[in-house]
Amino acid sequence: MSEETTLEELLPVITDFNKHYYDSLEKGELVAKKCNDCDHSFLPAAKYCPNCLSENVDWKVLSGEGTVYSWVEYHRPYHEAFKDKVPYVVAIVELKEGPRLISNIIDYDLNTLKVGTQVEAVFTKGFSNFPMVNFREK
Amino acid sequence: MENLSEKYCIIGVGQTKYGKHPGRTTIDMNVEAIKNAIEDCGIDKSSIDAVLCKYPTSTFSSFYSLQVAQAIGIVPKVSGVIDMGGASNINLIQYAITSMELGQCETAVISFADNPLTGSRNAYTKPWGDSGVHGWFGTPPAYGMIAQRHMDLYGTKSEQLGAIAVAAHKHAALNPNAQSRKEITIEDHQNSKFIARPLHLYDCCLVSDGGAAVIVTSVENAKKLGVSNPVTILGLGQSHPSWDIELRKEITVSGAKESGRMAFEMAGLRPQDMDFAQIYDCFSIVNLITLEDYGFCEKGEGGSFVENGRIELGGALPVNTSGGLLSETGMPGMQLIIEGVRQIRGECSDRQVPDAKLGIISNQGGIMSTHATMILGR
Repeated sequence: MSEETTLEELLPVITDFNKHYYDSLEKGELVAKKCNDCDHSFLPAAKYCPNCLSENVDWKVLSGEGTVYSWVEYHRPYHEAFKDKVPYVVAIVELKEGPRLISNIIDYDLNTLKVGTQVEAVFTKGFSNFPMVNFREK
Repeated sequence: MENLSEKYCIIGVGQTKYGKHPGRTTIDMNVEAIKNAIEDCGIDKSSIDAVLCKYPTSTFSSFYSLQVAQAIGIVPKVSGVIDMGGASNINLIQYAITSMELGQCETAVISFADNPLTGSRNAYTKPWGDSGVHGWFGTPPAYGMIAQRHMDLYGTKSEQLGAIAVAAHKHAALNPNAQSRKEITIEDHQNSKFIARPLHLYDCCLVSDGGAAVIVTSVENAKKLGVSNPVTILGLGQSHPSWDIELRKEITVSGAKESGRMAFEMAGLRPQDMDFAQIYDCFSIVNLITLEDYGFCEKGEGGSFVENGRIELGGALPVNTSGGLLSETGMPGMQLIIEGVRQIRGECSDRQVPDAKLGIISNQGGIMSTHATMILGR
């Protein structure tokens, strides 16, 4: 198995419902779905609003600001692609507009990284030049 | 609505050896466990008319309970698989009881077997959803995320999680069936490597091959079958917070809260009535959070609750008297039911809780995604 094939399995499957999300990351914008009927903002992208089940949902651009809901520091790689990356931090980030997502905290400091730490979006490229949003302490 | 507390019971329990079973199939380990459960209660195999299984976590296989039924030579009236991870065992007992209430079957075997130690354990290390690009893999880091929030919100210390591991290993040392019988200290826990900070190696359960089974029927039918020592099911509950943890309202609260409330209400009992608890401990933090959510202490006070030997044999609430997932076997939950039955029967020798009459058992699955509770008594 070539290295590229191994990395491919880490990449999200692009669908009609999430394509705009990744296209926006490419442009340096973080977006979420917003329901026009009940105002609920949500991620991951889906056809129906999970709150009121309406199909009347659009995309909206988010501020990229949020807080750390929780975090964990990896000390062993679960995939050969991360062999040289440990230790690294994966966090649940709660965005100012409400939705939460899984991301990385980059340039973190274990002395200050806590639940509630304020963070801001950093747009980067992952494997195979895949667009990603990470966060760093504000 | 009729309260079904005390109407049904567990009459037989059986297991394989826990540890390595290279080359064995999960089907044949199910058969061995079921054979032992049948011998344990002394009933005739032909009395069993329901076969319910949790499929092996490591390798999904369709129509699994019918594969097991076939291997034990039973054509079941009621059969099925429930896909709720470690909560499935108690969920299946509940399915057996509701089927008996409908008059569709009388005696059910509920079994599980898996071989992640010598077979595949990919199920436990795969990327979560679309977040593989962020390095979001594996079961231990997901529980680490929960532990870290509990620590940051409530000041829970790693040494307090260590007290849970120390108790489990101390109990397993008294259990000849346990896979790991080595006692450890808080220092050993603290010095063990980080698997996913804040979780150390000793915060994580064993990886084990093996099988286990229980046989359930009505108290009335148990008498007809001539079973001498049935253990009565007093309460049942379930609650299932969410699949993805980032979408859960509060990750430091588990399904144990609602599930426990249901089970205590059905049993007409309170936490302080319990003589012991067998708490699902795939990771030490789960044990701590479950004790809080069941109401043994307030939310956020689990850290101090588990200290100073309170959850060890001889303490106020002996927890995981066979060693739990941390030290008896990493099997997802059936062993906790079996230990609950054996404690109430008074069969636990060196690790027996004196005069154990009432006990609570938790089962949970995923990343605290599912939860089921059972209260047993005599």
